[in-house]
Amino acid sequence: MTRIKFLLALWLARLCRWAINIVAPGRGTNLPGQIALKIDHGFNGHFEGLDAGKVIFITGTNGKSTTTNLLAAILKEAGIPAAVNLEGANLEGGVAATLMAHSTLKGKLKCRYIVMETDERFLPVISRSLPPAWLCVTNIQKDQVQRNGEPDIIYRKIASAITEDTVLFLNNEEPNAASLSRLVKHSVFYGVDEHAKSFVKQGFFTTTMPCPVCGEPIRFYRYNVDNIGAFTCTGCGLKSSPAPAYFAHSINFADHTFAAEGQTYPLPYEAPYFLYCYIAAIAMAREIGIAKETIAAALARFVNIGGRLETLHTGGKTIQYIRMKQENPETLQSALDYISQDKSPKIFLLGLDELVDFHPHYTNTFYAFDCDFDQLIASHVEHYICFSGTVAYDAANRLVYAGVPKEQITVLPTNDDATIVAELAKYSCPNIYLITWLYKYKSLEKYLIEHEGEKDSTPSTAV
Amino acid sequence: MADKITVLWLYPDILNLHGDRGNLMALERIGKLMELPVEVRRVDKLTDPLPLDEADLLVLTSGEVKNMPHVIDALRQEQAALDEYVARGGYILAIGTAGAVLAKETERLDGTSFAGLSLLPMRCQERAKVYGDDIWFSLCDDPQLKLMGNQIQVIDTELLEGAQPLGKLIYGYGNDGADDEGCQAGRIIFTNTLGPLLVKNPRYTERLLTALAADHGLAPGRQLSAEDTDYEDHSYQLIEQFIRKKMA
Repeated sequence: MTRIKFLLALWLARLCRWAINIVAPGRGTNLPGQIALKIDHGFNGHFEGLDAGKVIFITGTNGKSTTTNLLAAILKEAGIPAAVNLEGANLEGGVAATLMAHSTLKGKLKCRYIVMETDERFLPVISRSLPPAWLCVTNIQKDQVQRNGEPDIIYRKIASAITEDTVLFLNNEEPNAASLSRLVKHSVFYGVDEHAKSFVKQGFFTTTMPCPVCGEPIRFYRYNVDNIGAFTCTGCGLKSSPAPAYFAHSINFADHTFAAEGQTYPLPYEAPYFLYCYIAAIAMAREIGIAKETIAAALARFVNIGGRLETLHTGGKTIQYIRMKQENPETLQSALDYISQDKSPKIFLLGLDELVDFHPHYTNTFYAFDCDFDQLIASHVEHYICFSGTVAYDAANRLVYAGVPKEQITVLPTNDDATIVAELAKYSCPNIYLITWLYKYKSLEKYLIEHEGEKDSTPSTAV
Repeated sequence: MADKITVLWLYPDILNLHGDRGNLMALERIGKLMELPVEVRRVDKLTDPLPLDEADLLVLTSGEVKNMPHVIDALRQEQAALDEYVARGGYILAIGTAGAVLAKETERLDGTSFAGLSLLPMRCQERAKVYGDDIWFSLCDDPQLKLMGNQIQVIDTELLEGAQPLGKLIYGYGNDGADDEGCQAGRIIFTNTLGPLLVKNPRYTERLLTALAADHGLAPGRQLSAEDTDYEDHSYQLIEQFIRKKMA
C-alpha cells in the first residue's frame, strides 16, 4: 500500500511538473513536491536506492545557499551524481521536487548523494522522513524576527532534528552553531583564520551575544564577519578552536586566494563572509573523499547564482546595489562593511522599507540599531539619502544616532523612482551605493531602462 | 546625592535583541539635548556587582527567553539591595521579553516554568508562534502622550489582580491581544514596545529624564524643541497613516 501511494504521488507530481514546465518553464521547483507530499506524507523517504548515509543537509541563517551551490559544484567536478536543490527551494516540497527530478519513473534515485539546502525553521519537518546523516550548520543569527522571534527558537528547531549519530559540520567561530557539537558523537569543525579584513569592536554601545550554553557574555577576540570570529565564553568553557579540522588561512584578498590543508584555493569575492561558505563546502567534500586538486578545480570554475551586488547607471553615475536580507542585521552590516572599504567620496542611498513579507505588514527598522555605522561614516560619505514610503525618517534617525549631521541627510518619504533619481541628479559625486529590498531595486532598474535607456545592469558576484 | 542621572544598562550582551541598545543611546543623546548629565553604566556579566546605591534607572532590554532565569538569578543575588532600591523609588524599565524578569512567573512551551522577581503583578506565557506587528498606545497616566513602536511577541503577559497597564492600545497586540499594553507600578515599568522605544518616542524619554532629574534636584537646561525631534515627529505621522490603513 505504501509503495502504491508513493508511486501515485510520484506520477501525479511528475505530471504537474510537466504541465508547469509547459506554462512556465523552470518554475516547478516546489509545487510538484507539495502535491506529492499531500498524497504521501513520507514521500521523501520512500525512494528506492536511498542511501541514508549519503544524505547531507545544509542549514543556518546565512550562507546556506552559497555553501550548497559550492558543494554541488565540487561533486559535479568529481563526477559524483547528486540531487541538489540548487534553485533554493528549501522547504519540504522543494526537497521532494528535487528528489523526484533525480529519480526514475519507478522512483529509483539516480544519484549517489542527496545534498539539500534546508530552511532552518522547517528542518525538523524535512528530517522526519529524510533524516540527514550529515548536517552542516552555517550559523544561527538574528533574522526575520516577525516569524523567527529570537535565535534560540531556531536553535531549538535545529537541535530537535539532530540525533547523537548525526555528523555535524559546524562553524567553529559562530558560538550558537559551534555549541551544537554537545549533542552528537562526532562533529567536524571548519573555520577561518584572522585576515586583513578582520576587525575588533570597542565602542561603549557594542554588544555581543549570550553564550548558548551558560548565558554569560561571549567575547570575540576579533571578528572575521559580524558576530563571527575567534571567541570565548566569559562564563563556561565554550570557545572556538584555534585549529579546527578545516581552516582557511593565508587569506589574500589582493590575489583572491586562500589556503587549507596545504592547498591553495581561489576566492573571487571581496566579502570575508564567503570564506565560511567555501571552507564549509571544502570540509564536506574532503570528508566525502574528494581530492584537494579536484576541489580547487571546481572552485576555479564556480560562479555563484544570485550575487549580492548589481550595478546601475544614471546620468553618468554608477549605482552599486548591495542586497540585504530583510530584518537581518548581519547582512545589513555586511553591506555597510563592504561600502566602508571604498574610501573614495560617495553618496549613500538607503531604502529600508516597511516589511511586507508576512501579515500583518509592519514598520520595523530596529534591526538597524543592531548595526554599526561608524566605519561607513569614516569612509567619506558626501551625502546620505534615505527613502521609503513609511520609514525613511526612522532610517535617517539611525544615521543621526550614529553621528551624521542632519545637514548631510536628505529624507525622501516616498518610493517614487523619479523622485529618487531626481535627487541623485543634484549631486556631482558619481559614486553611489544603494541598500534596499530587492523589489525596490528592480523597480528602480526598470525605471532607468524606461527613462534613460539604461540596460547595463551588470550582475556581479564580487561582494 | 550625585549630581547626575545614573543609568545601569543590565547585561547588554545577554539581553541583546531587537536593536534595544538604541534605548541607552537615546537616554544619552536626549539627556544631552536637554542639557542633563546622564551617565550610562554597563553591567556586563551576571556575576558582576550591581552598584544599585548609585543607580537611578535600571534598564533591561529584550533577550532570549531561555536567558531570563539567569538574569533573575543574578538579580536575586542582590535581593536586599534591590529591595532597598525599589523602596527608595528607583526606576526599572523592562522591555519585551525582559518583562519575564519582573513578572511573578513565566511558563515555557515545554511545560516548565520559572519564577520572576514579582516586582509587577503579572504572569507570562511563552507563545507557540511568534507575532510581530506595529504597536500604538496612549499612556494611562497621560493619555495625551501616545507612543508608537513595534512588538515581537514571544511571550504573552497576563496582568493579575491589582495590576495597572502602562497604556491602552490604539492599535496592536499589546500584552495579550486585548486592550492593555505593558504594566506599571509606580516607577517599575514594563512595555512590549520595541523600536527602540526611547528613540522613537523622544517625548516619553524626555518625560522619564525630567522625572529622574527631579530626584536629584536638577532641572533640564532646555526642553526638546520641534527641531530636535523633527525626524521622530515626521516618522510618527507617516506610521500613523500606515497603521490607520491597517485599522480601516
